[in-house]
Amino acid sequence: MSGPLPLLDATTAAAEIADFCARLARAQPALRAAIDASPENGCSERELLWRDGKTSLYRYRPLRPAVVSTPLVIVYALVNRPYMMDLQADRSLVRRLLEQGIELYLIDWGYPDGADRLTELDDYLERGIEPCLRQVAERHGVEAVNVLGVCQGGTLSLCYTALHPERVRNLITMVTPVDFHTPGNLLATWARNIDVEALVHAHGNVPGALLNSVFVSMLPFRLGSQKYVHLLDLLDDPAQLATFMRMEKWIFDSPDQAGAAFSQFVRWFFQENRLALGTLELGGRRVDLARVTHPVLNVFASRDHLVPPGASRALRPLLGSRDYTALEVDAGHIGLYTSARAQRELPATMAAWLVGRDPRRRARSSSTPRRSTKS
Amino acid sequence: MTQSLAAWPEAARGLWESLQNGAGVLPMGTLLTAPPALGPTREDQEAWQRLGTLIVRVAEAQQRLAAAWTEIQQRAFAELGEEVAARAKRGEPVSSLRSLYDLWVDAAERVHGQIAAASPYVEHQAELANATSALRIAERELLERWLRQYDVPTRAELDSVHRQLRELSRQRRPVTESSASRAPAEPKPKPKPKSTLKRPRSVKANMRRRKLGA
Repeated sequence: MSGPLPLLDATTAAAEIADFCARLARAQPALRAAIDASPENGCSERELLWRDGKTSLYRYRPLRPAVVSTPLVIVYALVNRPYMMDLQADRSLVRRLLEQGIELYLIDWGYPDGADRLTELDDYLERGIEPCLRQVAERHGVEAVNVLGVCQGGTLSLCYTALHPERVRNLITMVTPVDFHTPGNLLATWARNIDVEALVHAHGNVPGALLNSVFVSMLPFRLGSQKYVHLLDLLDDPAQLATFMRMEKWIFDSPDQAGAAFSQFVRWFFQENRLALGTLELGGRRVDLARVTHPVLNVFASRDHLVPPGASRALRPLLGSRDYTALEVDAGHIGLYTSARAQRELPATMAAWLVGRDPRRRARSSSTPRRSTKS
Repeated sequence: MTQSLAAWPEAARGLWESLQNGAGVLPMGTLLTAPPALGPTREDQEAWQRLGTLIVRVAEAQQRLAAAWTEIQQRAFAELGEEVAARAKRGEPVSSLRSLYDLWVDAAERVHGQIAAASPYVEHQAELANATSALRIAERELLERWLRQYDVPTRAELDSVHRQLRELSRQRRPVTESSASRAPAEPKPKPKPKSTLKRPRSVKANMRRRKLGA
């Protein structure tokens, strides 16, 4: 470094520091004013249909008549809260899907506590996804429903579909890790040498705060420092400030992870990559993705640092499906839910994809041959 | 119990003194070469020695990881310097502290991405996590040992109860599910058909027959 600072004019630098300090002083009241009362409920109207333990099934109030005869059930991840899907009116994948005429349900896993530490992955499938899908199917008088699995929820949805193919009609996976050993998967690289049994023994349930610190430490300078410095630029924009505060709440509002399920997920998926290798067993049954012969729409983000696109792309050759569509979006992991572009394009694409595979429509156009996107 | 309790302050004092003497760097030798545990309090002595060993293990792992972070910072500043110099050469000097800061963040993330994904860092970080877990387990074991002496319930006991409840729930579930699924399909019990077999004679009837010479 050969004297770069002289390139900066001292007077300009001093003025910049003064401005920074002035913004810092204004930040506290501005941020306090921007705190939302309860973003955790989302912004769309919904009703609770069923609850068992911490698991809840919600139904969103439709915004227009349904365009498909099969409802869509969102299976969210265990590691975060699902209100990111419905953060605010202009950043809500839920609302955009409702506007498209998709009947929408959500499985919310809640906040596990000490009594849930022995809950296993199989329990999430058989005592969570299974009764929820069954109820939605019964309610609509259909045998199978459409499923949208998000992030880890996508991985669980794939496992569920492989074990209960008759319950799912069409499957959408969103930023879903499948192959955990692709290059550039920092999280999997870090997880490889962790004694997860000891971790779970030490903590019981694995604290959400611990997971958050791991996620932040993946981009420590950007997420631990730069993000907050740039926040000072938003002080004069209350709407953007409110969005920031909602996102901030969501990011750190992480449920603790049921110890047994966490241990299984880290060991079987991150460390041993059993899903991609075809060696995964849940509840004594082998999870064979070749049994997923359903139409699959796989959505992933090209700049995702948590689930690298390669981890999702790996799904294609593992499926038994002949109707596979991959959709790579130029976004990050969270941008896929909230960015303006994603809001504009993604729900319409999902709705069109579902409409094209709706049994009502298929019955009408059964004479037309189906195009397979898998080659 | 009194003896075992009496041993604790002594052990704790020894640990505290070792920590103080270490002045930031723990005296590993003091703890690891502690005399072998003997006598009625040997279990307690061993538990404390184990704790001490784990404290050292965590401290060593922290030091190794801190060294990796120092390297990240140093290389980030070196890359920042090169970037700033290159910009000056191109006639695009850094015009504000903010842009300098942003360039530093870019450089630091780049370097972090390289170092944090590579072998020594990954192992140091895992060792810190594993050592911390082991320390936490040892701390809890000591705490539970103490709580048991006062008959206070512990996490281990609660876990045992949860395990039993889970087993009971799992045993009950298949029965409930199978009976629930069977219920609607189960046909109504038909009236029993009248038996065509002759009813066996009662003992009294047999005796009556014998008396009659039948």
